Amino acid sequence: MSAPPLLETKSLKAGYGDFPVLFGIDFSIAAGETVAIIGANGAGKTTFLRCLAGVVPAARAQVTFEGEPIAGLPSHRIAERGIAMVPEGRCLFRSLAVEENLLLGRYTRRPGPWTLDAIYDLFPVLKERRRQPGTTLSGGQQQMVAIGRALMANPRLLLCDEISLGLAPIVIKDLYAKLPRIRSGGTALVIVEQDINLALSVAERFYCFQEGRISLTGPASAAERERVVAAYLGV
Amino acid sequence: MDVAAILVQGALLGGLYAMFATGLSLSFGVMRLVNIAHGDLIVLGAYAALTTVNITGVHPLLSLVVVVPLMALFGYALQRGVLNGVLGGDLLPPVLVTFGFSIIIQNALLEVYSADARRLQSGWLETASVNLGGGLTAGVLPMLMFAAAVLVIGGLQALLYRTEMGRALRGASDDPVTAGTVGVNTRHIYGLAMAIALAVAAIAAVFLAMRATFDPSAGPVRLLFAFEAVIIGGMGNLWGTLVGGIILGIAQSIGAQFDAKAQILAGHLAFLLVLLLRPEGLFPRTRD
Repeated sequence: MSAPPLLETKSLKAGYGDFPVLFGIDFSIAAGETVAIIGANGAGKTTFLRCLAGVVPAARAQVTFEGEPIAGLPSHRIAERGIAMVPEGRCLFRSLAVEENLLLGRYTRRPGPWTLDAIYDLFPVLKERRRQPGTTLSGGQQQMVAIGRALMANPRLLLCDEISLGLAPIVIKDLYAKLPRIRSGGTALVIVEQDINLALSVAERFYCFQEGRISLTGPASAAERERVVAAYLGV
Repeated sequence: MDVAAILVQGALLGGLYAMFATGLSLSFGVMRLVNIAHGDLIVLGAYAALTTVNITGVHPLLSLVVVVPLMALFGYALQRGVLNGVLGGDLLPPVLVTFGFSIIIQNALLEVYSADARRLQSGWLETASVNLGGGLTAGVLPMLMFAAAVLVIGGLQALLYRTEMGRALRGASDDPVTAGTVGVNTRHIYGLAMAIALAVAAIAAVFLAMRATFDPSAGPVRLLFAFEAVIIGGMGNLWGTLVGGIILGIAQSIGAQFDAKAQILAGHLAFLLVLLLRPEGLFPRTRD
């Protein structure tokens, strides 16, 4: 990789209180790239994303974004720099209507292609539901709101934490079909999934997490799949 | 005194109680912070108005121009400097800290202003009244007080539901972690919420000081009225809080007809009655 990475972590360690979760993660993603993170439950995938978003603290120098150390910054400062997250379980603001959820997404005022109209163009059903409380929507529609809210920040890096969680296969397929359009805006994507095939189908590279460490990494080509399965299962 | 007059008088008094309650409701709604010092902060605002009037000689109503921004600044500093540090976990630490503040404020006021009861002289406003027709009259000051309450609550409602800051306040209340990831500085937002809460408390304080006497120990009773108005109206509903204040005011005004001492008691009884029949309040905004 010749171009400097958009985001890089060096032996990133993190955890909750005295309970360590990540034991030295070396990770990088280039501008506009799509990278999958796969791994079983409890492998540290969500903690890793929460670290990048500033929700879980890490040592200063362990995460660099656009060449600057960002670990340890409060999450709103990291959001201002252009890292947005679609959190696990969607986390819509429950007292806000759909449109208000989306509008709060542009709180950082970052300029770019994603506006309210662009989001409604991507997910037309949200326009019909824009006055409803977000929590009255179906799971798939709620996920659209969560993705739309993150895109409204016009992020350089979008962290997607298990967007397929709890959704029907047909809904997952629809959501994943939107990813190319999201990428075409120049946003780099980190896709966290438990479903190997789903993750590898959209990513250019992958990292496999196992018990807080990276057990395997490489290009997301079909030939890799068997090795991934082996690494995933830890055999 | 006929029934209509009692009702009108009570309802207008309810506007003041609703203003006591609004700041309390806001800080609980946004930060899950039960501010035990809220009543004492109102009394602090009353003394700030007194000092402003003593120094400048302006009409008490004009002291709002000084007292409201001053209390808002104080609220922001209090939240960022102290209260943010005890938020996030249990409900209890903020209760203990604000209870401490309550004692500190009462004693500081006692030290500076002595225990004498004070009042803001508002001149012609004290006695002016308007004929509402049918032999019914109402004081100009109580009507002003009620109008202020409606304006404050309407303004806050618009702020919360029509502006970006309102969305940020509600979002931070729903889920502070996610609010942070979309770029909301929750510590700053909490500071602003407390600033607004104390700005409203300051408005209530000036009216309180014009309407009746106050002394350094007057805070806890105002806090009690504020709690009662919030709970009668239902948590999280500002217009409900206004109705709660009105019910409390009317109950007190009816009680006062029997005996001066029965005034406060009748308010508490109305509160207990609502608590028994509708523990969630009359107009709760259920969202969880």
